[in-house]
Amino acid sequence: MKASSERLVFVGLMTAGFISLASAQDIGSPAKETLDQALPKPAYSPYVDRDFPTRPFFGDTHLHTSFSMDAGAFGARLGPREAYRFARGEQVNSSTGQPVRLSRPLDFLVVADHSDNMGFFPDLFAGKPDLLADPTGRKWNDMIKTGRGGEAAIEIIVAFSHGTFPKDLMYFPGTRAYRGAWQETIAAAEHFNEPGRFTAFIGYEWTSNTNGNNLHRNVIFRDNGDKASQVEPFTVYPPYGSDNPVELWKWMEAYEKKTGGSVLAIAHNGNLSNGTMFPVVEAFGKRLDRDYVEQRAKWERLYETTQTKGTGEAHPALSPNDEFAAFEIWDKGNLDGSVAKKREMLEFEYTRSAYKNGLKLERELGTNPYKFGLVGSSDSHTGLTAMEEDNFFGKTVPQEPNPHRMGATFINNPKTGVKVMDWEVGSSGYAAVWAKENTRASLWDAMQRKETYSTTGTRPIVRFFGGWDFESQDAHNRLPAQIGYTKGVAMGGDLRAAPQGKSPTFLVAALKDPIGANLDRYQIVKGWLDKDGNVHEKIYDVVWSGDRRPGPDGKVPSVGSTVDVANATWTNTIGAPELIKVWTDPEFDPTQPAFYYGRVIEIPTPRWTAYDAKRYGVRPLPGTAMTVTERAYTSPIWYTPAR
Amino acid sequence: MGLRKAILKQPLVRSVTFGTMILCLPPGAVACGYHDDVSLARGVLNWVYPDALHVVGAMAQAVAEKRLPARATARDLFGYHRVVRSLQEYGKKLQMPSAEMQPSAFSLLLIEPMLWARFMPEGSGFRTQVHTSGPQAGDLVVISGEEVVRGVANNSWTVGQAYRSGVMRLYGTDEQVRFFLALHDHAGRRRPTQ
Repeated sequence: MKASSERLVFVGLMTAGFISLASAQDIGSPAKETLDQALPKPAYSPYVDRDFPTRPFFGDTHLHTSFSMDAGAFGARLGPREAYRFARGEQVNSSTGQPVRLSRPLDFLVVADHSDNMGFFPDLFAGKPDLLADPTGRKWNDMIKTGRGGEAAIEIIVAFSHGTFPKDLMYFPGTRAYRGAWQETIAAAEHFNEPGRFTAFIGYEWTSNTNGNNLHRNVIFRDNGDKASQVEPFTVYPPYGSDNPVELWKWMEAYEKKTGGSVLAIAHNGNLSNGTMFPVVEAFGKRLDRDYVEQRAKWERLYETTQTKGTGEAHPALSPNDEFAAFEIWDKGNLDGSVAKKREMLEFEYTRSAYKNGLKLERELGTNPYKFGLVGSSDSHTGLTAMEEDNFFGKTVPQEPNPHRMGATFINNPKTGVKVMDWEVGSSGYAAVWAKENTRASLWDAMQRKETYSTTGTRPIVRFFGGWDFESQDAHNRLPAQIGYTKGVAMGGDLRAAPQGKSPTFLVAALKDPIGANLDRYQIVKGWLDKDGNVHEKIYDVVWSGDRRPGPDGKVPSVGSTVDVANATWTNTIGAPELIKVWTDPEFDPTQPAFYYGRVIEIPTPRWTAYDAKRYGVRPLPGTAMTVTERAYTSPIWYTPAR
Repeated sequence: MGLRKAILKQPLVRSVTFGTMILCLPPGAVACGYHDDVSLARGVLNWVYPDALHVVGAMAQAVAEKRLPARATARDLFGYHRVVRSLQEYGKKLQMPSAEMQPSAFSLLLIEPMLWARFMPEGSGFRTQVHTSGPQAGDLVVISGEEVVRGVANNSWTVGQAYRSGVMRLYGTDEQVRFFLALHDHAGRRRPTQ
């Protein structure tokens, strides 16, 4: 790319030089052969001066360890160090004593323990001096040491609920104990961070949960420990913390100002927010204004659209024409089941509707607050980012592999009727980041520019480029990325002001996970805002496997299935290992803002429930999903009309 | 008033503090498994008795290898009575091999329902007390599962086999553990037919 620009400049200068000479004295026009001999040629190697990402890095931006209060309480014994070891490819023993190892190492991990009471459980049971200095802490520790730990645990819980918990034992920011937990979190990340091989990000989860409505965000530092250790994580307890995302953004601003560092925040589980994740009118009692939309757009560059507690890309009620929208849906209530879901909440919970509403808000307020890229991650509370269907170690320790986990209940609130079964927990997902190298800075920068995609646990390689000049033969080039970056923008990018008479063209490419299932199809999801202020969406099947033809409804028929549920097997005798095509928007209106994102669907494969049923010989409950169509969602490319 | 004290006195903060923990946790923090979710109690167990939950992993492996059945006891009164019978039968297997050996009482926790039972030497055997509140000071603690106890009760497993395969874990002094195994290693052994 660089060589061709230089070549153009040189040609220009040479041409200008010849013209100048010609005006003084006519020496004739140079022959093409002469020019060819005079101009420098690109190097023989096509990869010289290549300056774009050449591979995606797979990781998890959302993992909990024993340092999280709830994970510890559920029995998680793996801390941050064990979590990194596992993510890097080592074999470890789970909290239930089962050996476990990933099929392949991940490239990066964010240990994102809850900032509230971070580190309490391990410290209590390790007899940390800060806890022993308090008489009650010492008493509890003595009880634990003498076999009365169960009694101690009960006393702790009762003390919390009655407000008699010793103040010196509370893990508030600013206390020595809390600082210790945060410093250990940083130290673990620093220890396992190995630039070029594995990236251990420093991070935490801010856990806003007012009225049981999930507004959680994971905060990820670009920086090393020297900067991160100058602050302590933001919590939800006033006056040190707040449950309002606006206050989190202020904390992030203050961090950057204080340290010169960089942070970003990734929200998740809009599906459990009961309509509060993507507001369009007001948030926390305040009407959305320019400041809100600008701040949100600035700090929340990514969104975690798939994880163990459901996939939030689309909902069948919002997208009735999308036959793939009903995927791993959790839509019964908020996080704790205290309030049942209502239909009118859905629009403000799902990625695609947020994208559409974001176009509206940009027209009203000047900035699109929902112009985020996409990642997937686990939210596992076991210390294990084990999200492969045949290697799923659950969301919490009670869900580590055992014969009864498929039949157990995850949430059950008899008052509201909200009930979610353990089989509904998904083995999902991972984040894929197109970065130039595996370092904190490079990965973080790629996240910041949204050159990311989300997967539901597999590792397909997915490209998505948009521009004005892609041609069908570009899909035949074996260096599609070279063309993509030269002629267009990558996922997460922007197209503006369509040239006269042109429609956006997209170069899409996907390669199957090398040890996974073939691909069914690559779709592009388009959303746009018309002149009347109404939003629309349409899904296009761009390229698919085999010789299927779209039906009368324009939809490509199902690819079928090779899944043998009873034996938890499948074959790659359907689908295709690679899909690549150039597609032009056939219904483009240059006056209408729009977004486009890629959705890659794999052929059906056994779900973790099928592997459990086979291994343990257990019968699943009626209605249990036993197959899954894994998928990837790219960050969008946005189109903005000329003003 | 100090800032931290002031914070803790705020009902909202207390409820948020506890609520934040509890919102992420199942209700019914303290219960045997026959009347409420016991995930919290079981989770804390893994800290109080380190690696206690390895029993779960070992039992899962045993089910996969068909050494244990996969069935789950119904969480109702009938299920409870079945488990009580199993525990009583288990106690009957723990015969004292000789008058010279003086066993101590021990407590056993069934990990699925988080149900405690205590076994006290009485005469030539043990008296079983089910649904105790926990171990008493000095008790050896045995952690295992319903099907393991049932297996010992119906001579499918011995205590020694259960211990060595990890589906039964013992917590006490080294001497207590040694003595227990020496005494009960063969409990549950199927007697040869005449």
